[in-house]
This record gives sequence, C-alpha cells and structure tokens, in this order.
Amino acid sequence: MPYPETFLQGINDKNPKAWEELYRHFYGALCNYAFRITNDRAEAEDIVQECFISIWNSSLLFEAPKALTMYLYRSVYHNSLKFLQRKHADNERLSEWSDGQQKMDEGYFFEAVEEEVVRKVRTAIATLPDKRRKIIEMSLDGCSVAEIAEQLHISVDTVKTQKKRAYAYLKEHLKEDFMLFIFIFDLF
Amino acid sequence: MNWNELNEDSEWLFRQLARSDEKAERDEKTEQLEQLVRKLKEPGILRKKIREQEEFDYLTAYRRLIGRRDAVGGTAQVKRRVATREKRHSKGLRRKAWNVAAGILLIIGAGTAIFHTAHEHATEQQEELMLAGILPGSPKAVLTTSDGVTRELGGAPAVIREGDGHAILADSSGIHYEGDNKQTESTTVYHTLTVPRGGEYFITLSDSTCVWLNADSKLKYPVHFAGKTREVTVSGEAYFQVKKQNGQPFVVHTRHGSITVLGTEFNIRSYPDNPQSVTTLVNGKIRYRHHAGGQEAVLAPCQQLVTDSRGIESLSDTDPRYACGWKSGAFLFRNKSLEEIMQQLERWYDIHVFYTNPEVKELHFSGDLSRFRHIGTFIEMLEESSKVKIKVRDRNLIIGWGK
Repeated sequence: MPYPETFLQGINDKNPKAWEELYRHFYGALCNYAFRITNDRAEAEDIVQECFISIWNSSLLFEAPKALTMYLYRSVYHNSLKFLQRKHADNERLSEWSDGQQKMDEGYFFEAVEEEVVRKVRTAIATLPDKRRKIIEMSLDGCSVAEIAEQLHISVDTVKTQKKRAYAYLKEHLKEDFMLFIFIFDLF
Repeated sequence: MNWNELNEDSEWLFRQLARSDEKAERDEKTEQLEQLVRKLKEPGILRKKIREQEEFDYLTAYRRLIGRRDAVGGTAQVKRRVATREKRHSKGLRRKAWNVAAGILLIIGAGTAIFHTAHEHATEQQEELMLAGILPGSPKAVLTTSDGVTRELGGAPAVIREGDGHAILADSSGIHYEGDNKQTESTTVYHTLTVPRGGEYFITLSDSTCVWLNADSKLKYPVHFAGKTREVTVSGEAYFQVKKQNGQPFVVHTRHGSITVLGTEFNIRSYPDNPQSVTTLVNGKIRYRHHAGGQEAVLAPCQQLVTDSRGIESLSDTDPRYACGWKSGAFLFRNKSLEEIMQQLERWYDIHVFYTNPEVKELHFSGDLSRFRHIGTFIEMLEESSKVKIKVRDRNLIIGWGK
C-alpha cells in the first residue's frame, strides 16, 4: 500500500500508478454506493467513472486523503440523485420524491459511511498473504477455529498461529493506520 | 447532512467493530451508526458487503480512463465511451467465464468438456445485448402491515409506523424490529414480508432473531412476540439464526410441517412449486413435525431433512455450505441436475427456462459461483462444460442440445 503522502501526491500529479491504486481501493465502494441510490448497476458504474474522469481532467489539488474521500462520495451522491431526478422527471413521482428528500438524505449519508468502512476492512484484508487471508475470510463468514482447521485440512494450532501472524503482518505493514490491525486482531 | 463527518463517522464505526466487548466510546453518536455497528457484526455480513464491492470491475474502468488520454476532441471521447459501454458486458463476461471454467470441480453427465473459444456467430452480439437486461437479484421486498397496507422496501431508507406509534426502520440492509418491551396488548399484530423473484431481503425480528429471505419467498411474523412460543410462517427459502430464549421456543411453520427450535441456525427451502421441502441444520438442534400424521424427526448439525406432502422422505448427513451458500452471496452446487440449478437461477434472475430436449434436465453439474455474477457467466459455464446450447429471448432461456 502506498504511503498516504506519496499516494495523494500521485493523485494530484495524475500519476497512472497512483490512479490505479485509487481505482483498486475506491471504485467498488463508490459503485456499490451509487447502485444503492440508483438501483441501476450500469448507471452506477458510469456515474463513478464520470466522477473519476472529472478529477482526472481537472486541476483539483487535494490536501489530505480525507478531503479526497469526502469529495468522491459527495460527488457520487449528487450525481446519483441527479440521475434519479432525470429518471423521475417524466412522471408524477417527482413531487413525491422531493417531499421525501430530507429523510432520504440522512439515510444515504449512512450508506456512504457503511461503504467506506467496508472499503477500509477490504483494503486491510487484501494486504494479507493468501493463506492468512483465507483464514480471516472464513472467520468473517462466522466459522470457528475448529471449522477452519477442518475445512482447510490444517491443525487448530496452525489456524491459531496463522491468525497471530496475520496480526503481526498487519501491524508491520499498516503502522500508519493503527485501527486496521486492532480490528483484525480483536474481531477474529 | 454534513459530509465533513464522513471520515470521522466511518473511523468511529471501524473502532466499534474492533471492540466487541466495550461500550460505545462516544454516546452522542446517532442511532443510525449504532444500528450499522450491530448490522456489520452479524456473521457473514461484512464478507457479503466486501464481495458486493469487489463485483465491480475496477481494472477495466481504470484502463478506460488511461486509454482516454489518446482520444482527441470531445466527440471522439463520447463515441468511445458509448462503444466501450456496449462492449463492457461482453468483454468482462468472457474473461470471467474463463476463470469460472477453470474453477469448475467436475462435470458429470454428457461426457467430455468442450471449450470452444469465441464462437463468432453473427447472432452473438444480439444475444449479449439481450443478456444485458438480465441482472442478478438485489435487496427488495414488499411489507404488508396489519392494516393490509403494502409498501415496497429496497433502495431508499424508510420509517414505518404501526398503529401504536411504534416506528420500524427499513433500509437497503433490511428491516429491523426493535426489542420486545413486554407488550401487554391482547391481540398480536402480524406483518408479512414478501420477496419477489430477483430479490432477497434481511430482517431482524423483535427478539433479535435474524432471517435471510431468498428470492420468491414470504415470511409472516408478529411485530412483537407474546405468549409461550415465538411462531412464524415461511414459504420459499429462508435462513434462520434464532436467538436463544429459554422458555419461549421458536416455531417455524412450513407447508409440510413445523420446526421447533431453542436457539440455532438452519435453512428451509419450501417452495410451493416444488414437491419436496428441504430443511438443513447448521447449528443447534431442531425438531421437525410433519403435518400429515405427526411424523417427527430430530436434526443434528450438518443433517438435512427432505419431506414431501406425504411425510418424511429422508434424513441424511450433508455439508450445510451447499444449502446455505446463497445467504452469503454464493451459488454452491454439488452434483445437481441442470433442472434444479435452473430453478434457483429462475428465481434469482427472474427469468424463465424452457427445454427443447427434456433429457438435458438430467445433466449434473458441480460448481461454486458468486450470486452477483452476470447471468452470462452461467450460460457460458454450462455451454463450455457440456454439449448444451442456451438461447436467450428476452427473459427466457431456451436450453437444448448444441448442433
């Protein structure tokens, strides 16, 4: 994973490598977010792509990763609503939709929070080596240590050791982001 | 809404997920955030959410962005975009299908596997365009409240008020009933949740029991559980994670019989158009009582009970992952007939399947695929691993032998 400063600089400088990371980490989360609002997969992907393209073509400079994250979710949110507006413009439901907007805004914000936390977890897990990742994924599926051992044909002790190593690995590689490894360690 | 809180809130949420035992560190956080914590801590939910995000093909999108640099002028770019959008489905599809082909465990039935690379028929493009309209299921349901009023649940968050002023929150994560506050009311209020074909839905009942409803399924339940038993009625497919409550057993009524549990996880598949019902136990212990003649069976974990209208057909050991995979977003099947596989796909993608050669129904397949894949993945997988040919006409799939 790139160091935050370098990564952000890469985004600002339109460095293709940094942009590939941006896509890897954010594309799915943003698409899923847009999908939850629009209920249209192809449209969701278009909205997100348009958002990335507009940054790519702009001279916007982000000062902190937080500003970038916020910008991404916010523009995807606005463009998704615009899509809904266009879609509903033809029929009577527009007025109904506007009335309910205040309530919907709240809900959509928390959906953004949800996608973002899932994205953080996904990024953390993706940095693990294959075997440890498999073990963590099975833990997330609700499997006990014994079940994991049985299904992967390894001993219970090995599962425990691998979990510990997964923790050590994350600790080593995610020093900048303290919360990531606390998460993995405690939850599993 | 204040977007400045996005980072703060998601990091707060992250910390809550990390500390399973501690109390919330900041009390002023909203109820919605607390609810998110509870939801994401349900087993399997995080994984499912991660899979949802990973279904989107970031690499193709990234390459399209980088490729744009050569394009000159606005019109050229727009045209290009339209073109790639049309191709997107087909290209992603083919690549995915190859991964799938490699992942198939075994093929039983029509002999050898045939891998015909890119069959370049003129009709293929048309087929792919038609395929674009068939999408995997998504969270949606219709809620019928006690007054008979129906309302659609799915995309947008909604608050539903019962007659007694009690508020129930529904959003794209599902519908959640709040804890029982020992209702004194003499009449029990029932709600019914109906999931259409091409849908799935998640519900938390008032006793914290979690139910995952699959496509084309229905659940009837009281808004609050009163009395000596907690009773619900299900039709179609549902996965139950029953909250243990001593002295108040949980009873699930199905078409063929009733299941009594104390605290456990199990899957029920009981569709009206299928002669058989299948009950699969994951954890705990359940007692099944058949309506006809009161035949009974007690299930231990990893056992599966098959019943029909006459009585109990079989009780056998099973790997519950196959019956319950749908809940975590997977299609897992082992040595299943094409007909059985297609019945599941029909409900999930809301399509209809017709056979020009009835004997293909008996071909057997094994596989492990995400439920959120494009229908084309299945079609290519089936065509590449057997001699069947599948034609798509609107929402209909016509299956027969290839030439």
